[in-house]
Amino acid sequence: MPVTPAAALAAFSRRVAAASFLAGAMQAVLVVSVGVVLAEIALRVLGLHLPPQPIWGVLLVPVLATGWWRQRREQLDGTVAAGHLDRRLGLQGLLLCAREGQVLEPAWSAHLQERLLALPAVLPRPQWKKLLVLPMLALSLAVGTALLPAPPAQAERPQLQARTAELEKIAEQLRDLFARGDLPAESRSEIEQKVQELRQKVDAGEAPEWRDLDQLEQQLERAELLAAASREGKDGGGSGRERAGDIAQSPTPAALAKAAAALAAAGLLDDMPAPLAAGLLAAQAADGTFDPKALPQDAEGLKALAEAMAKAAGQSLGELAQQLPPGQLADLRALVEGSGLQPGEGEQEGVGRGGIDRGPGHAALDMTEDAQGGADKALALPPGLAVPQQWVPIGDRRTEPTVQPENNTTAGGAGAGGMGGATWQLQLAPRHRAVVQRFFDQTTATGRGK
Amino acid sequence: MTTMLTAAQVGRGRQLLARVQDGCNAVLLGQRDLVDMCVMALCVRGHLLLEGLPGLGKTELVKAIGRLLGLSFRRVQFTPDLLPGDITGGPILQDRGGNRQFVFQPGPLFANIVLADEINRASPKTQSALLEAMQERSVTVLGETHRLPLPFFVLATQNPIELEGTYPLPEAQLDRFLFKVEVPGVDADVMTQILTSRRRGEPPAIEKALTAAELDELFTLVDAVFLPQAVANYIARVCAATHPHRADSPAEVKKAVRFGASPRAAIAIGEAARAAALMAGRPNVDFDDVVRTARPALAHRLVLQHTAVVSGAVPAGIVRAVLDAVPAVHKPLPEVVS
Repeated sequence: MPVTPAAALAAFSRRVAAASFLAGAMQAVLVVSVGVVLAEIALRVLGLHLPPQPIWGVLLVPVLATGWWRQRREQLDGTVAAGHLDRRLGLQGLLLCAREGQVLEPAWSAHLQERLLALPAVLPRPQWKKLLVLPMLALSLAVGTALLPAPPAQAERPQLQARTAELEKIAEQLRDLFARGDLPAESRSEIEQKVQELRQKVDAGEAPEWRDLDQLEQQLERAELLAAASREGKDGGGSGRERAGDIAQSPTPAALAKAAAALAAAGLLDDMPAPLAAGLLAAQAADGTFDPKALPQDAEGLKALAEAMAKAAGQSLGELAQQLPPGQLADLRALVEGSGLQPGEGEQEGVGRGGIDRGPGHAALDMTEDAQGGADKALALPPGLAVPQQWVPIGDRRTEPTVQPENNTTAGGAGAGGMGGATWQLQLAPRHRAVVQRFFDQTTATGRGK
Repeated sequence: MTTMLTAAQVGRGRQLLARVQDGCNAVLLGQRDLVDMCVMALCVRGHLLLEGLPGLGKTELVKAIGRLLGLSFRRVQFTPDLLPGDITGGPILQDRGGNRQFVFQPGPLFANIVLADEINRASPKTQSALLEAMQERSVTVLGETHRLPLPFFVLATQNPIELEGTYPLPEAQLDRFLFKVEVPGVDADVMTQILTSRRRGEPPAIEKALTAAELDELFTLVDAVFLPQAVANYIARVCAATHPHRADSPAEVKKAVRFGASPRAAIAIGEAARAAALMAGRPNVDFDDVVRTARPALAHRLVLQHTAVVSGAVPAGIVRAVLDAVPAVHKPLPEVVS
């Protein structure tokens, strides 16, 4: 059957177009496969797994689009196709003439037909090796990576563990608070709900945010404060200042257990009254820690224990800075300050020792919502703390007072013997003195400072 | 839609060409390519510049062509004191019936074949006198234009080594030569053949190979050879690639060429390729014909950089690089097919 030049050119162009489409598609397969492999590896590094899904069929779109684009780009026009085919058939321009409408005499036509019969042998052949090897290799790798079994559940990360422990600690405190039964039902349900939400998050394998934990802890402290105020309100005894001191002196069993451990480490348990010391020793575990549950759970018992421990610790708190690690020293200092005593109270007055001359500050340094941008949130103060009782009126005038600040000509303070050691006592709030004193203690120990 | 040459016509054309070729080959032994180039140039009525060392048979070849074609033949030995009027002719005062008047006396240019031997020895003034003759096939003297006999060929020779006292041809004149063919030396076998077959190197006597009608027929057949569009496009791309400022020019061109080939070069290649196709027995031009004729048609039209000339670059090498760089079909097949 004779092959017309037009049919031969069409077959040639189709073959080139198909090869171009295939080349483009395979190029896209290579890129997409490499992308899939990289994505799968990245997900597995993150502990996730993305199994093959029907939606992955969308990946065919770039493959087909690239094939179409390349086929369009490499499309041959008639003249070019005729040029290539003419050379492949060895027609020496005869096909070009026929395509341009030249009338060929029978001899030339016969020669053309004879050569056109060899068309199948000269049609372009795709270079399968060049076309398929890399894309198929990448595709196999992608399929293999996607079909790998899901990675085993990762061990809980330390971060998750730490947050879970913090949540457990909060839950423990909450249980203590519930056991005392002082928490208003509204606050109780709210805190319970938050704890429950965080638990669900932990159960789902997600690490709760530290922000949520801190917020919950602060809410819990506030609730404790309110509960203490509520208890005192119910008891109805004492002045406002006494009530405020009592509230501040109501540590939790857990806090007392930590302070007791510090006290035992400092060897000060013997300075406590014998019955209380015996009770503490009974709560002491083999590893030296104290079981909060073995401590008195009632408010009176806790208060008495805290006062005794504070008194024992307060007498030599300055010396303990050399013996105890900072954490335990801070626990003791908090206990002493919470009890209304001041570090060094009861100690012998002298140079560098300092002494109580103004009493505790009138406001607690609470890092509550104010420190987190929640200044506009109302914080109900416990009864009795609204009026600072330690304010002492020094005069009553009809006119505004004249302020004439004077330089401190006696720098160093009388109590410090003019060495500057008592300056902090004159200018710092009582609650901050411990920090400053700790700093000077450390600098003394390391040979720096004064 | 036109009709291409028939196989019989192509056969006739080949026969006529073969007669001229055989005659030339009988005179000039061992120079078949050179003879083919000369015959191609004659078939398309182009001028030819032969460059070669003395004694290679340049002049003999041109004389043989004149005899074979049966055309009027003049030889002009170009020398530095040759004046334009010496080749174009000029008015001379003649006494006719008692009246004296200026009558134009044709010079040696008024012949079908003019051999300008050692053309580069003439002064530029004389060389320029050839410009109009070569391009317009006419001569203008004192405001009077005289047509030259057709066909008109200038076959010039020049010696590449004796440059002292010569005047290199200006580019404009070089451009008017269809081909510049370098006459190669011959090997020992050919020289042996020359020594044994000829006394004193005299070529054998040759007879006229073509009549005037046959020559016209040959011209007609060459003109009827079809030039396909794809091949014309190839010629154009080859010529364009000789221009150094083009982005797709080969590196050799960008480095060595100062000015590329003119459109006249493309026309010359197209015309010469027709003759080459007929010589090869085809009714149409093929890419191979372009490759065959491009080098002699392009080499003398390229103006090289001085630095390239000093560093030994030759135009023939540049043309070869261009032909290597420019694909016959302007868009190659995709890489993924073979």
